[in-house]
Amino acid sequence: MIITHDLTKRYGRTVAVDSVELEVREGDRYGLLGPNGSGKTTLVRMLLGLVFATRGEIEVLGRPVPKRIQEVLPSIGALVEGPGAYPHLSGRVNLTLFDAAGAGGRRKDRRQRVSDALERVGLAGIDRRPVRNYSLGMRQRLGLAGALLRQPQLLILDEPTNGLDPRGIREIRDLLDELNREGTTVFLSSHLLAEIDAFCTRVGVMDRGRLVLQEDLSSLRAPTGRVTVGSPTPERVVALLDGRVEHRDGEVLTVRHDDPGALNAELVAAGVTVTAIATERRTLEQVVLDATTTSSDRVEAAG
Amino acid sequence: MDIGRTVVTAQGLRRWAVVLGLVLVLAAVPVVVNVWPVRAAGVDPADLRSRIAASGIQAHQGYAQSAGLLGLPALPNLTQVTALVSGTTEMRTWYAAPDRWRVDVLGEGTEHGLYQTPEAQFTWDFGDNQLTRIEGAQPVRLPRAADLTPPALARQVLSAAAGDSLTPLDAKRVAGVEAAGMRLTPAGTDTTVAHVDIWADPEHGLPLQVEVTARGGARPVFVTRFLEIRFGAPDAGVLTPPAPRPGIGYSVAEAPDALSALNRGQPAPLPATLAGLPRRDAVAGVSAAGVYGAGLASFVVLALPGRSGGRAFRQITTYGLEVPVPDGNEAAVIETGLLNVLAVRNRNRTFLVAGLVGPDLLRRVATGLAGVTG
Amino acid sequence: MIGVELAKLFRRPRTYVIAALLCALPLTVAIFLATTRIPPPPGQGGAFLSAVLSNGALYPAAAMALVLPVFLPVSVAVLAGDAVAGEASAGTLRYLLIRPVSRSRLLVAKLISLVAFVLFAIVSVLVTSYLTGILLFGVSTSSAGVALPPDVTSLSGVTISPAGLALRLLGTVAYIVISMLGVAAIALFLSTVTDSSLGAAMGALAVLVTSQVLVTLDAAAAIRPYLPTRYWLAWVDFFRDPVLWRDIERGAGIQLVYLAVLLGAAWANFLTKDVAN
Repeated sequence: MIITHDLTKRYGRTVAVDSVELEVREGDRYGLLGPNGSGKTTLVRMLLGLVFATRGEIEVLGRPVPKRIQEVLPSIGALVEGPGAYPHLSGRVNLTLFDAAGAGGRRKDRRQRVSDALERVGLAGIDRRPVRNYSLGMRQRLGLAGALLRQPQLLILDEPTNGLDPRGIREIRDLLDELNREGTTVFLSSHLLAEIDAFCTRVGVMDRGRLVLQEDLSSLRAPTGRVTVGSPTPERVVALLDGRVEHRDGEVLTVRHDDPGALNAELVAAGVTVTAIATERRTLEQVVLDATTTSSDRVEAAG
Repeated sequence: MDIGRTVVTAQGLRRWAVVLGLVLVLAAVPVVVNVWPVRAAGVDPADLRSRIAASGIQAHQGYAQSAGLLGLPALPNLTQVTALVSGTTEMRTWYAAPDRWRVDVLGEGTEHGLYQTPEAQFTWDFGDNQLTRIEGAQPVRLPRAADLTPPALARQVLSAAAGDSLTPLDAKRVAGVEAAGMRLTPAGTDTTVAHVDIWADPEHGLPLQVEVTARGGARPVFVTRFLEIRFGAPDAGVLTPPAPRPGIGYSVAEAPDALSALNRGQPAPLPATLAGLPRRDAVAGVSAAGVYGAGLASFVVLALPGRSGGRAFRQITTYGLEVPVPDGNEAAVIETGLLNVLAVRNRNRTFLVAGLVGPDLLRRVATGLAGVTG
Repeated sequence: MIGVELAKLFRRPRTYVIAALLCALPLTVAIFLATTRIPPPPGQGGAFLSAVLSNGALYPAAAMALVLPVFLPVSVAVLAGDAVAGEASAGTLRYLLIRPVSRSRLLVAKLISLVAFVLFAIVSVLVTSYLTGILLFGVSTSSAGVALPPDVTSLSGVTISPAGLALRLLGTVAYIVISMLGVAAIALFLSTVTDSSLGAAMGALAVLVTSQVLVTLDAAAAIRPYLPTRYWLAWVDFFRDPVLWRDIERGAGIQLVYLAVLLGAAWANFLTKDVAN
């Protein structure tokens, strides 16, 4: 769905996006993770033809961007760096205007389309209040409704859960889940690790303009070759396994072992009570910390 | 890599180049129009002069503009006259015959119209909402805008300067007409005029542009020219003055005969010669005014009666330079480089002198007038 | 897209506030004139003002002369300066562009909505000032007892019939719209350069003020015919008899040249401009 090659954006002497090779496949739930200022938003804007690249190539839905952006955009729904709406108009009028602005979409069904989109994001009951009186969360939902107006094949969402409360975040995640199951590819960027961890199947990590990692989440979460074991008698486990225990923290032990089933059988056979046993996997946080060097908002003294 | 698929710098530059090209083309239009060569319409000056003299019957309508750089101070009661030679005047003219024409002086949101019909003259002033019918001839009057249209001024200059030399000038495009040019250079040294350049339509002889250059000046100090000209008789309706009706002021005036008023004050008689130049009477039977000199070097002398003379003299001395004269009298001159005005106070009499004549001559005139007795 | 822009224009309270302010100025002047009956000296204080006391139906023309030099261009500059920059800073520009609306169409739609604004504002001023003029400066009653507009005297002293007056006012409206197109084009171009609406409006006003100063300066006579404000008052020539087309044609021509060049510059700049803020 999205392929970039050597994509670079320079603002004067600052390199905002540096040689990014992005690959989003059809049906993906792609999460672009990176701290604020790492170039995520600039990358998203380039994909949508809002910002023009200094070097490199972009292909979205099989067509070059921005050369044929007009053919691509009708199939994309997007939320870029916070929602935008005319503050003196109501949410419904805002959506109607945005719907009328773009080509396609018959005028006859416009009212229905707007109502459907509002319902999907949980704003079915909004009244004639102008958007200026909306809460941040309501605006975020309205922006999302705008992205969903035309049943897009690809959703590009930049920080979609900004300003939402935990219940709202959950609702939006369920909505995206549903859309993805219906066949929509979802590309979302966030600086919140938990959000990506909870939703995405594929992750890209950006650090100071570079895409430092791009992998399926399942392969990132590969077993580490260790098993965590919980037991009320940890000293017996240590004695039994003799040197294979790498770490002990109260009643939880980390054991070098490939197969939790075999280990469980061994412990039970020896009469040790096992309260919990699981394969240890790498956490996304650990992966990100390994891939990035330093926090982007840290300012070090010049060496 | 396929240029323009992703990186759009080249497209941006190409668009700017298109805009820049558009600007250049548009900017070049007036320049090209200006420098487009004029086909030489070589007409012998003497021939052109006779054609101009005969062009009084040529019907035309146009838009003319006169611009003077004379810097004459705005003399009280004479601001309309001083504005004519010190500023820009925009005029529309419709001309059917010498006794049927109309000249409108345009101002921002205002208009002064002058209609000449065989019966009378009419003036219309939008600002005053006033229509005036002027009956009777005006043998002598103050200059007005209608005197400054190229045809009127060119004919006036040529009729005054009978013996001066004419040389051909390069043709020039005036109001879209390729006009033949000639230069009139005054013979004498008394006048302030270095030369007068006239361009006229070679076919009809209608003067289209007149430029007056003063001695010592590189650029003309007075220019009048048509910006638009169309030959052919104007619509009769245009030449018909507005009808008097309720809602606008209307008055009938006898030709304002300033000179007879002057004469009634029984001012001092004018000398028969001044600075060696004989007097030509301007209007028969009026002794208070006289014209001296010949051609462009002629000047007008007015004798003003007591009190109004004193007022006029004070005005001139306020703006002018003092000129030393004998017999305890006073004199002052305002010099603009082209048009010079002199005032002489001889006991309780005042003489006003105006003309396109130099300061040397005026000094001699001042001495002459200061010496008038009786 | 044009419909959307028009909807945005006429759903915005600002539009009506500006139009009301434009109407209020001639109304204020009319009230002072009507109560004091002191006309400004001819040739000063705005075209036609000296004539309206005797000629109430001419007041729409006088009102045009009052709002045209400052008020109308300022409001056009403010709206045009806001056109792109305002959308950019409100964050709605990016959503329009990804809708997708092509950037060229957006510019054209903005320009058309500005024309609609100018038309709306001028017609409001004309209607209110016509009513003001009739009410405050006089109505002539025809024999049938029906109030008819009084005869209007042209600058040349000839009576203009009501139909002629309507035609001339129509011409005036058209000419003023064209004059304001130049202002709109300057501000619209600047609006694509900066993200600050205020900056764009101020920039356009700076250009206009400079032009107004140079128009009156004899030393700048060589460039005077090319200044954007040189022919602004040429619509007055509609009220001469016969109509003087020279300045009207030139004025319209100059405005169209400015429009072509500046709209071209706006297009060249905006089509490859990064929308990031």
